Amino acid sequence: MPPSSQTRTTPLVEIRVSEPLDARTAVDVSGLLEDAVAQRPMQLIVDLAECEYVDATGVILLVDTHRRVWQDGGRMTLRGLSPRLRRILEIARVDRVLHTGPLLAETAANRPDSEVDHGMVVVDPADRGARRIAHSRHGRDPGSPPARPGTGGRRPARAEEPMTRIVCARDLAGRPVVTFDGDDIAQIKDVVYAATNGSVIGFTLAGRKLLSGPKPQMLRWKDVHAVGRHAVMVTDTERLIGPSDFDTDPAGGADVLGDTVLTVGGTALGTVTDVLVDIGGDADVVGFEIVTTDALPPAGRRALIPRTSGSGVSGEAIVVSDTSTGFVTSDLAGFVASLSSWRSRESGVS
Amino acid sequence: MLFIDMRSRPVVATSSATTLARVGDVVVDPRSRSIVALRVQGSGSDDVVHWPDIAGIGPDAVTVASADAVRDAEGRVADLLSGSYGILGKRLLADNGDELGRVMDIRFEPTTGAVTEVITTGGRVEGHRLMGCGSYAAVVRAEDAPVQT
Repeated sequence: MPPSSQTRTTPLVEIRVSEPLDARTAVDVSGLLEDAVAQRPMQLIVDLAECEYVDATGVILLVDTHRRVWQDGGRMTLRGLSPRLRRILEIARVDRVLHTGPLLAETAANRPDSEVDHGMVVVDPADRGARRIAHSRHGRDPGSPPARPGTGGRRPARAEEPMTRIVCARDLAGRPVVTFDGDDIAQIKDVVYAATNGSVIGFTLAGRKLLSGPKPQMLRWKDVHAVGRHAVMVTDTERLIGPSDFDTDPAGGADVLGDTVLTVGGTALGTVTDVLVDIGGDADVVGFEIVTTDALPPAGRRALIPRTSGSGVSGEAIVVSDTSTGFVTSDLAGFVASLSSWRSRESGVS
Repeated sequence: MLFIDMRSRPVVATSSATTLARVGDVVVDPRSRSIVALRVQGSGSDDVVHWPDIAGIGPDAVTVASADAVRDAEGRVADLLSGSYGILGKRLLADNGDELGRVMDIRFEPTTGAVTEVITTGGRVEGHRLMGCGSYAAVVRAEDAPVQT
């Protein structure tokens, strides 16, 4: 039943919701919205200025109404959203689906076409991460090359975007391992990396269900399809292997947690509390989270420091260059920027 | 059409003109990216209508030839039913490991049952990107450009 413009006679219907939109009031509001949709308006305005709160029932109702209006060729706009309501819609992850802009009819004159609501827009899957990364990219020298030039090596996910995607190894723990069939077959327990060359070898795994207990299986980085914000993707169950097949050399896989970070000049900068991994590239360890000594005052704070390529790493200490103290940052966004300038400096020196 | 518009519709046998059951859930085969069966309610123990057994999908009823069309699952449908087949309400995951939302509905081609779109709380995804549907999530191929309408 495609919408026909001939029968569309109602340009605008406005509904004002003056009570909290929750399970209690949803029936009434639903009836109103039902009537509004039945009039097949070009524009349906739902004014929520006096609505204090929207719960899950309300969100579903709004999304459903939006969908029906949109399918019918009309548009639904939410108006008068308080910061709190915006936040609720954000949490429900429908903030990009529901149009919350200014009233189309009122502002059409001074509004470019590109801002006109085109209905439901698919949220970029990488939305949040991309925003964060884009934000941190501002700190980078625009002229500097991408942190990971896209040559050689397999690159999980979005091969066309050589983006730096740095995570704390700790944050990967607990992330489900999901097959292309959609089954969660394990979850990440620990990150195993080669101390010698600073790359991630793979992950140790834990079971997902109570009955499965700890799984003796492991996952090699080369068998990982992608590490996303919500899951680690593998093609199928066969990717999990037994510990005996895990090709880690005896010296590799050293645990650097608790290691002292030492400069070439012999100053202890701090103790390693986590490893920073670039999962956008070849899963290199790009830096460390440390708890600082007096050398990086105030002592005892958390700081992020880039790894110096080619320097020694043992189960005891990690050696970084003297200049790396100038690239210490306190958060990941800062670290990405710092890492970029650190790398251009390192490559310039050698 | 959208599955939500088909849900709860009566399943009517054309031979006897009686209502056999009502449409409950949809069984999608992620391999063929199409609807392979409907779960129906109110028919007793047999609760599946295989897609080829559907005679018509109208605005008021889903029609089948006879009461025999409501039966036990067979073959691929039985395999799917033994797993986590339910796609509605499931989280949708791109194969890059990022979550896209929860599946709210699916749009399909009424003649073939082909899934043309997966509608989620985070937006819509073309049906041909569907890869799997399991215990954790429905998985779709991550695509560079978001779909805009």
